[in-house]
Amino acid sequence: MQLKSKMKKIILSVLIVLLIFLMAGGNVGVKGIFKFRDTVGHRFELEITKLSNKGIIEGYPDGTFRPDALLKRSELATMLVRVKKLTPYKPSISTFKDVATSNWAYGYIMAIQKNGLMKGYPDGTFKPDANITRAELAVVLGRLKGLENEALKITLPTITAYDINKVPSWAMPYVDLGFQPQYNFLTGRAGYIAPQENATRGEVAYGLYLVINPPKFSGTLKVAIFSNPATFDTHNTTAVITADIGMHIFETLFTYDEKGQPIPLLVDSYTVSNDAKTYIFKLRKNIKFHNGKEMTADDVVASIERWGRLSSTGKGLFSIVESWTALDRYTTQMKLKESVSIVPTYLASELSVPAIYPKEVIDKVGDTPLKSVPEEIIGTGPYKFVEFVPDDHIKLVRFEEYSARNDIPNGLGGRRTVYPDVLLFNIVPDNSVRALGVTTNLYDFAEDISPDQYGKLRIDPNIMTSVALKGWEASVFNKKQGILTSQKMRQAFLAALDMEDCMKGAYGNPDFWTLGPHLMSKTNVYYSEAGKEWYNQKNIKRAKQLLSEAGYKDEPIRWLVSTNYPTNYNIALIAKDQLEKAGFVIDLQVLDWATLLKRRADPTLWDVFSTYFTFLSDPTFILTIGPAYAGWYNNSTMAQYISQMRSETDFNTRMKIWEKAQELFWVDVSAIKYGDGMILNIFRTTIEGYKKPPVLTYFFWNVWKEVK
Amino acid sequence: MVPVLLIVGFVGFLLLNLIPGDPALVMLGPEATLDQVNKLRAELGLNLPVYLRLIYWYGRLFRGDLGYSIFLSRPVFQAILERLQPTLLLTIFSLIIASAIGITSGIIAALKRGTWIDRVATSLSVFGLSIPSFWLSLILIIIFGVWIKWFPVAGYTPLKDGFLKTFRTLALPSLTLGFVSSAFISRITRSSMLEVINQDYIKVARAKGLSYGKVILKHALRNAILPIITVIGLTLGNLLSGAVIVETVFALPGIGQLALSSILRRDYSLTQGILLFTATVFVLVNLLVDILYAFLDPRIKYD
Repeated sequence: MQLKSKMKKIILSVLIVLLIFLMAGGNVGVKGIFKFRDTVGHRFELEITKLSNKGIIEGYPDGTFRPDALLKRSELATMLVRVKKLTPYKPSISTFKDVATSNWAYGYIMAIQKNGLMKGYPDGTFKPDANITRAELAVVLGRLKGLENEALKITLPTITAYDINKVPSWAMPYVDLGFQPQYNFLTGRAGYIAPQENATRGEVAYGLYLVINPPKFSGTLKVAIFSNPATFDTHNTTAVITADIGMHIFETLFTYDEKGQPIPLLVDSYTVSNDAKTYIFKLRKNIKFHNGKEMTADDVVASIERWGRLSSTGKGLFSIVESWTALDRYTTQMKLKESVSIVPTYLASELSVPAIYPKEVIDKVGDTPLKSVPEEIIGTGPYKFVEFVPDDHIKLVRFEEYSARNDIPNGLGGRRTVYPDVLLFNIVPDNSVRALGVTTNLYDFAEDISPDQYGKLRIDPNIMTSVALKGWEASVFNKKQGILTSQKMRQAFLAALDMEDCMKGAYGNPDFWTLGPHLMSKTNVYYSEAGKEWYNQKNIKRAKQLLSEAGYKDEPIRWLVSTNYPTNYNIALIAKDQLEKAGFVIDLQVLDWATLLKRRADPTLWDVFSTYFTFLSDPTFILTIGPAYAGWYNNSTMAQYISQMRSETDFNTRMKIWEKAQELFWVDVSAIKYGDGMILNIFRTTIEGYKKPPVLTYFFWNVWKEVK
Repeated sequence: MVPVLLIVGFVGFLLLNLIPGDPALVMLGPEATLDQVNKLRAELGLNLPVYLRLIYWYGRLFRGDLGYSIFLSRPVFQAILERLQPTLLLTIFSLIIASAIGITSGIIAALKRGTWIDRVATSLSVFGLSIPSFWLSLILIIIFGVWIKWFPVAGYTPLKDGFLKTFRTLALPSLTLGFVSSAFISRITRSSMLEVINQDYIKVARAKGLSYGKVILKHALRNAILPIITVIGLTLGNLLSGAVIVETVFALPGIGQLALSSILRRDYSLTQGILLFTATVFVLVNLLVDILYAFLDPRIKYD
């Protein structure tokens, strides 16, 4: 008896210890850094958080910072006093006629005037209650940085922006310096300097932080990614991971700005003929490949031709290309059989990227995929490929001869500066290990962390969270063969679904999914809610009626889904239940992704399959409304819309056609869209300058590591 | 040995070709059209009939060529060799840990049979047998990687960067695998020791006045060792052919992860190569165990 109770005690204590370990595992204490509740996910969250923890800036009593609100000149003076650690100066007579000695900021304004950081206006006023403009901010930050002598040397700007001519001459040298990579204390607004507009509190916080902690050109940036890329050859695949990594190595003729619209990258300027049938591209000069060779029109022609043969987007464009030639060393010309308004969008495509390779590499490999060796992975990008050790890491280093654009950073475009010496992608398949790797400082950045960890990581003082749009969850119907070729059947399918249940079940945390009928993302100019009356009907009765109208006789619907994508699988499970309530007979076939792809190619084997699509930059790129993609959608009206959009140049007209097309998508139901899914990326607070990209997952130029 | 390998190669080849999907599909990504896939298939030589590919594969094998991995852009043999280091070191460390824990706890459990010590040891080994290794890995990561911060949570540092660094990266995975594999060794040790310990010659040895420890180690353990060696041999084979789950969780670039990713990508020649490698390892380990038998028990003779 005694032995037994002893043993019970031991087992019990072992269990308790284990339980404590388990429970405490999720508990990272909140200490030190305080985060404002309204800055989570804001583009200046990091700088605001760090600066407020230094006591230089303050939030409001309600725990907010209001990063997009404007800042008064008197408030800026107060912050500057704190940065310079000055003592308030209160002479008995005010220098400024509009600042009374009784003003709350009097001591600060006078201290800052004495110090020379803010001088007031020529008419003897200070305008303490006026908001500070961005041009004024540039000058103040430049003086704070001690750049007066530097500024005297600058006569012509070295940077460009859409509105560079609007920068007043007194501010121009400081604006120019503020955008230089070694200072970087100014940020643009989607390619504009906007000098006459007022600065936001967030922009001021960013500027002050950067003046105090300028970026450093050093270090190794370690990024934990979930899988090996199957290939680095961006022409040859639509895999997102290849594009994500490839974008650091290779460059394209065009890329995307902050709003997801195409802007020139390797192209300097281009012209379009009035009928939109002839495009002439002037390339930038003195662009070096990683092998030291200069990029010329021959490389561009060969690369885009190869992309046109291999990628589905490229094939779409090249089916209407009449000729694609080099006019001289730096000029290429594309002639089209019909008018196409969106050639730049094609040439920026993120879904199988039209990267520019050296011609000799293309001559060597032909159409077979590039090998993962430095002799074949050669681009013009800011990072240079060093090695790929599968299941372990991909190593890139700064390309020292990179020639950056001189326009200010704007989304993926504009000047690209590489601060770290090395960019290391570590392949870490397990998502909790990726997260733990960042919390223990083994990695600096990790992609795709489980949303379950969001609450915990959001308050972790060493971690920044970034919730990014992943794409839309979808099920695509077989419109070539089988029972779902009937429009009524597909409408019944749609009518029965409760999208909220599906998305909630698959994603859980409501920060990670949203509903809506849009096929273009909310940040894209083509965002539309057309067709919303058909979306999320949860109408079992209507579904039943449609089924009987279609003459459905309990034929099993063969539904292919892969557990490689857990959200696809979970949605299918929930949807299956809803559909069965409406009278559908569902044969859910759970497969691995490669098997699904194989089976999907044969129209006799399936009726519907699940996948997710990334949001694309142009409606005409959406695969599932075209005839080439699995499901073989052959609707002449839709085809007509697509071809109209392709040739139309006017935005408003294109938008109208697109709204009709999206409406048709929901009426004819070529596929189901359940909702938008997000992913969680995290990084350490030592990683500065990180911005969410307009497309794809991440980018690591204009990003640096804090050096202590 | 040769026939075993030939059969393994044959069955493996057929099985691989029975699974749907192929490398071209995986490489081209989810949005590829059928045209593109067929084009790449032709370029990769995948459009030949299975029997022809099998004949070619055997032909190359007899010339000592395991083929070429399309995804890794290198010969299969080289790819396997590159992955050998982490797996080999992991195997050695885990085997040491497993044997130490397993044999000790097995002996103690046998000696204290029926007492609470025996029950604790037995429950621990049941725990070890039934615990999922990914769970244990995560628990160890949280304790030793996140709280105490003794070891990194994942990744691998190769030997050329210093043994200590390598050891640090392998500590947690070895501990996990060591504990999990110790369970089986412990159970076999216990039962095998129990069989021996009640024999007359043990009593005689004790009666002769030999010390307790000497009797246990020299008389009992030596006679009980053969089944233990067999189990250790099996564990060795298992570990060497790659601990898929532990390698994946800890992001170790070993044979296990290589095997898994080669199957997921349908990298046929690589999967085949790993299969042959694994079969060879098992055959060799069995041979080693047989030789050890003869060495440990002079009564066993091979003619």
